[in-house]
Amino acid sequence: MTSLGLLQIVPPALAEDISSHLPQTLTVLLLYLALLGIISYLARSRYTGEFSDYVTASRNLGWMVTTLTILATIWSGVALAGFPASVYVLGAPFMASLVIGINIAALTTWYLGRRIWILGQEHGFNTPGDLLGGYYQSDTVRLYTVMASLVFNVAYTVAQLLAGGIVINVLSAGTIPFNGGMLIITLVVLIHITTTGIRGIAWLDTFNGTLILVVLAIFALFIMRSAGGMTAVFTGLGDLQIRHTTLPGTAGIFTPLQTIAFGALFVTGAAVVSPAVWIRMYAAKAQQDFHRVFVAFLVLMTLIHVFGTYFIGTYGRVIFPDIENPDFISSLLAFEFMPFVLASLFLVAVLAAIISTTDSYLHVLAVTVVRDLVRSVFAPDMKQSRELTLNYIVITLAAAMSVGLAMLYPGLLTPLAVIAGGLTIQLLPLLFGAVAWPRASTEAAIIAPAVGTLVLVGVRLNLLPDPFASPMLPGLAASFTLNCFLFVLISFLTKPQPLEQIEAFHGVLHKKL
Amino acid sequence: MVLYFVAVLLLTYLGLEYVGVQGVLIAGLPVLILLTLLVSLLFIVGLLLLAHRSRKNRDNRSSREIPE
Repeated sequence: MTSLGLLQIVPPALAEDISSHLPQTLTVLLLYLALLGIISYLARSRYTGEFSDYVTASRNLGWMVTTLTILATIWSGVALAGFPASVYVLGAPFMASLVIGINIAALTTWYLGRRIWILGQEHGFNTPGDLLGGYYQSDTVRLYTVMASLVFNVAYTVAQLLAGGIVINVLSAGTIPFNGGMLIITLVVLIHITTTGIRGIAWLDTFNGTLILVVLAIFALFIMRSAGGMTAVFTGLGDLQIRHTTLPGTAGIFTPLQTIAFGALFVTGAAVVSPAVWIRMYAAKAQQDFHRVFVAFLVLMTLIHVFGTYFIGTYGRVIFPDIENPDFISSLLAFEFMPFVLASLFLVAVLAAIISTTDSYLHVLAVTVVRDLVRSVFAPDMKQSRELTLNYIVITLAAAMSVGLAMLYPGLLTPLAVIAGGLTIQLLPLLFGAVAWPRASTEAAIIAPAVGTLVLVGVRLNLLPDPFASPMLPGLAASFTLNCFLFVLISFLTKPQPLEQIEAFHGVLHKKL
Repeated sequence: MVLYFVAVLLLTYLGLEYVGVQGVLIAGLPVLILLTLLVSLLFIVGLLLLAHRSRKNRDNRSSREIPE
C-alpha cells in the first residue's frame, strides 16, 4: 500500500487540512515520541534485568498504575477509532452493550484477579499456563494457553500495526509511508520492551492512559460547545433520533438478551482471559488493591465511553451523516471542531493507544511462548537469564512476523481477530475450575475447550449451524455454552484433582481470601 | 452478594426490555444511556460493598488469630 493510496482513503478535506499544517502535526508527534523516550529512560533505571522483574515488575505495581495499564492495554487504537464508528452505524444500543459488558467483565476480573494474584504469590506463577497447566497437571492445557496467546496476540498486534501505519501516514501528510509508519512503531515498541520490561510498559501505559482520558474529555467539551448543549447532540439526529437512541438500534439487531450477552462475552474474552490482563493480575502489589483497581476502572471506562466515544459517534452522525468510511469519523470531527494542535493531539492519542496495546501484547506473547512452550516442554532446566534472552529473541521474531503479516495479508485480519477473542474465552471455565470449583477435572479441561474451539471455527467457516445466531459474533455464544456444559458434565464423570493439589490451590485461596 | 448482582442483571434486562425502547431524553441524555449509567453505578456500589465485607472478614479473622 503506498502513501498516496492511503491518503486517498483518508477523506480529502482531512488530508488537505493536515498537509497544510504539517509542521504542527510533526511537532506534536515528535514531542510524544520524546516523552516516550524519557519514560523508557526512567523505567530503565529501575529495571533489574531479572526475569521476574521483566515479567511481573517484581509483583510491585501500585493500584493506580495497575488500573491505567489495564485500561491502556485494552484500550487499543481500534477502540478509539472503531468504537465511535460503531456508535455512528449502530447507535446507542452498541454503547449500552459495551458498557454493560465492561461492568460484567470488571466484576469477573475482580473475582478471578484476586485469586490469580494469591496463587501467583504462593507458587511464583508468571503466566496463564503456569496456573492452568499447574492445576490440571497437564502440558496439553498449558499448550492451549500458548495457542490462545499466539492467535490472540498476533491478531491484535497486526491490527494495531495496520492502524498505527495509517495514523503515522496521516499525521505526516503522507511524508512517512504506511510501511515506514509500521516499522517506526515496531522499532519503538521493541526498544521499549527489551530495555524496561513490564514496569516500563506499565509506566508508559499510565502516561498513555492519562493522555487518552484528557484528550477525550477535551473532545467531549468541544462537541458540547459546538452543539450548544447535550440535548442538541441528540435532537440533531432528526428523523433518525428514535432509532439511533433506542433498542434494537438502527440495524435492528440488539434485543435485550443480545445486548447483555454480546457485551459480556466480547469484553470478557478481550479482557478477563486475555493473557496481557492476566499477567497484570500477578504484577499488582497487594490483594486489597483489586477493589480500588476495578472501581476506578469501571468509573473511568463508563465515563470515557458515555461522554467520549458515544458523543463522538453520535455527533459525527449529525455533522457527517453520509461519510463513506465511519472509521474516520472521530478524526474528521476532531479536525472540524478542535484547534489544529488539539486535533493532532487526538491522533497522537490514537497512536498512544496503539503503542500501549502493541507493547503489552508482544511482551506477553513472548513470555507465554518461552515459559509455557520452550521451557516447559523442551528445556525444563533452562536458567532464568537464558529464558530472558530467549524472550528478547521471540519478541523480535514475533514483531517481524506481525509486520510481515500486516504487509502481506491485511485482509486476513478481521476473521482472525474475531476468532481470537472467541478462542481466549474458551479458557474461562478452566480458570473458574482452578480457582473456584475443586470438582474440575483434567479430562474436562482438555476436552471442553477443544470442542468449544472447533465449534467456533466450524460456525465461522459456515460448516456448522449457529443455534444462537448472532449477527455480531457468530458462534461465540454457542461454542462457549457447549464448552461450559461439557466442562461440568465431564468433571462430574471423571476424577477431580488429587487432594494435595486441591489443597495447594483451593486450600490456599480459602485461607487467604 | 451473589443475589445483589443477579438482581442488578435482572433489572438490567427488564430495563432494556421496557425502558431501553423509549425514545425519550432525560436531562439531555437518551434514557437507554441513563439506564447504562445506572447499571454502572449499581455495579460500582456492589464492588464497594464487596470490598467492605472482605475487609470486615479479614479484620474478624485476624482478631480471632490473636492469642488471649
